[in-house]
Amino acid sequence: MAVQKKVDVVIVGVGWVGGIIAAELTKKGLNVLGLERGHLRGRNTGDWMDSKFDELRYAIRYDLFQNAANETWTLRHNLRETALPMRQLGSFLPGTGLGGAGVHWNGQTWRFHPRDFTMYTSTVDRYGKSFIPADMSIQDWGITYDELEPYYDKFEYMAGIAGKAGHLKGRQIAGGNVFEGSRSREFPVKAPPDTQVGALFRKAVTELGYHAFPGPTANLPVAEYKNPDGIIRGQCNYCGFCERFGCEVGAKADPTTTVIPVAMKTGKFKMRGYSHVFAIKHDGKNGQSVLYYDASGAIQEQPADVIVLAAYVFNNVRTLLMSKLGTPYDPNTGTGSVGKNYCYQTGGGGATGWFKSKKFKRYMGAGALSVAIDDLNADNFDHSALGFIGGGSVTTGQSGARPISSLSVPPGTPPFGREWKAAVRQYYDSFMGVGFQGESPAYKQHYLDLDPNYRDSFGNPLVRIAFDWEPNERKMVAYAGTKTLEIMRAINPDILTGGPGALPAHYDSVPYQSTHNTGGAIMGGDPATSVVNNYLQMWDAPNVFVVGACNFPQNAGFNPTGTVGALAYRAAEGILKYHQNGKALV
Amino acid sequence: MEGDPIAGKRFSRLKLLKIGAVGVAGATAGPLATTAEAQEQATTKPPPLRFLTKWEFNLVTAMAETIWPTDDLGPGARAAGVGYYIDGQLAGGWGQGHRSYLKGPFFTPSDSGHGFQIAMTPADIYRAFLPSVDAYARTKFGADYINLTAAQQTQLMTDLRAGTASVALAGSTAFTSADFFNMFRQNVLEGMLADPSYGGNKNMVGWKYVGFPGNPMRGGADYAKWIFNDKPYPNQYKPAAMPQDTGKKKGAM
Repeated sequence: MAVQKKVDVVIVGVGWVGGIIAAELTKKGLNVLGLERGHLRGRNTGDWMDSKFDELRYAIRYDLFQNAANETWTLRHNLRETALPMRQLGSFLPGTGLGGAGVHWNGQTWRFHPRDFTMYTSTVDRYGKSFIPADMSIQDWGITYDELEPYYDKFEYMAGIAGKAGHLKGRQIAGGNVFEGSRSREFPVKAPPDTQVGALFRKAVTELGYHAFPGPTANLPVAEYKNPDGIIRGQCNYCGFCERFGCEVGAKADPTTTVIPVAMKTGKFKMRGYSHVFAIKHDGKNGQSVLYYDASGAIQEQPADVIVLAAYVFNNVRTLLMSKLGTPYDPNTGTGSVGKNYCYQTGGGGATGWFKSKKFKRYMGAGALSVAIDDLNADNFDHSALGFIGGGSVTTGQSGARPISSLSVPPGTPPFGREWKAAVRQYYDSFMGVGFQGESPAYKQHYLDLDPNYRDSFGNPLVRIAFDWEPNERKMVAYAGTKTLEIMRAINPDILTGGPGALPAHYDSVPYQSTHNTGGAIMGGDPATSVVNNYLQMWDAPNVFVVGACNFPQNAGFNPTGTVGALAYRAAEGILKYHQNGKALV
Repeated sequence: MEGDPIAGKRFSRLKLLKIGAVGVAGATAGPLATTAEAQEQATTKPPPLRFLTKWEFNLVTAMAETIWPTDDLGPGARAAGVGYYIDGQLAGGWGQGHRSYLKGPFFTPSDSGHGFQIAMTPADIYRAFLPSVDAYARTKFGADYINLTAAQQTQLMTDLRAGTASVALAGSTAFTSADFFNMFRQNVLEGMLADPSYGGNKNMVGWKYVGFPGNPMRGGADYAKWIFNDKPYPNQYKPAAMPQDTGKKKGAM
């Protein structure tokens, strides 16, 4: 094992979190090293232009994602079951390589609600303790929305997010999201207009008394945006190849076109690719170095004053467990915290409509081009008579219609042959959906640990996921489905499906659902029930920061990236403070 | 590997876009488009098979034609070259399991939601499954699949989909004929609608049929002028080849 020269800060994983922290620390003169398990290919627009519009390569064969042959996850639905590996990617698609999932995301950039950060307290205050199911382990975040607001603002101005404020300096504004927490200033970029499907959705939900607004987007709808770091990005072409693809014009905010170049420009940021970190070496009080496999498979040791885990949810948690740093969560006793409160995103509950004589130009689109309502999310509606906790965002988007994945035919159509073929042509450009993206509360029996049977290509244990759908979410989705059906009825297509939403008998790892996995290294106000404090600093090792969606105590009814970005800016501030005073910050 | 992998040129990308100079040298061309000789071959005789045997290819093509038939509405899987597409996929990384976790132990799950739990690549599955499709066809209709009537082929495909066809892999309860149907149908959709450089969707027939216009950057990338109104897009049924197949860059179409 070779020992490398010590650095001020080592960052494990160079995506949004790693890139933001690298930019902020190097601006202040720290020497930062990024270790990236994948490649360091620096994407530029030319790279993408030559291969970009290839649905098979990127969307179907997963060019930008982690290769399951080398490393996957095992899944069990309950603690009696022997976990089985996910043998192909399916349910979720974590990225790999420079920029991580920040390269292939859609760009939907939300802020969580004030209530989301105090979910336990707010629920008890409004409905009483007994309203929370006995096995549900929701917690407060140890930080409030107001405390996190400046960091949200910073992320949104760096990334040039377009939208319309619905709650500005304490005043509600029609046309924006009136349910959101108060913003200190307007979005940096004006929201795009509605598409045809967006306009149909807006009209219907407005008639029904809901509050429509443009979904916040990282797909730049204006000619040019210059961010506070001096980075200039250009306008979205609405090419329809966004999610699972890189952006050929840099219109989608991406760490490789924003924060990483800013860090590189300081001359203080170095990166090593094909450097797969698997453990932190520590003395029980502080981390001393990280251990990683280099491209040859040899183990290298990288000492640093500060260690930042900035990889995807699973890898951050696995590194802690492999390092025996922090106390692993035990579902039988409820003690320990590493691996605790693994959550996901609850889908289902949507409605679809098919039109005989409309064409929507669905092949044009952008990842986050949508109209939304927030009336059915979080605790924005009274749950007392409904018997469940939580809700979700409801949207109609237009993100493109790559043809292999975008055929939709009305119910009752045969699955193949002439009649199906006729319906494929009739409806390819003539259907729309109303989607529901629901919260995923935490449960005592949902957690992450190391699998005893299955290993990755380096011989290390895979992460084992314990997760299934619970009665609370089944009720939530059933309710959501009745609401989205009402909306679809008001839109008035020729044919529609919907009604009480249903989740499968068990969580299914095969069909794609969402790459919004959360938890396992949660933040909080109490070292006994969380892994990190509200600077994302480990309670058990003050020079180790663990940052990302792994910090969410439970998942909200929104896409996570806006909150992940805000936490990254918060962590960067904490690391700078720690670097000066060398102490626990909370 | 240490150093700056991101060219400083990134900062001037917007300028490059404005003068239409985006892109790097060495554009990748489609596999058969590199020499005039290869192009000539492609138009005069079918490409060689790389994984399937001739009879497997004929069976796959006939089955694909059942999924997406040739009729008065438009060309089907045979004309689109779906058999060649599937052959290429089975010979390539996907078919060979390069993205599949194939380490043991293997066992049949006790509940749903775990996907396939068998020690086989997609190529293995095709090879193991195809003979039993013909065996089932002979038992039920007295002839190989390719010699059945279209109605019989439709019935057989329906049986596969329902999982009632007794063609599950030997000894495996974890991969049924319904699973094979789903994998095969997905491969047919890919062969009809993927980029033509993969061997299917010949002359963009699949795109033309469904109304996918192909290259979104043609004519100066003007989707912003169309997406926010209800005017019909004139090129919907006139697909343009993607930049990777023409070697041309943004705005050059």
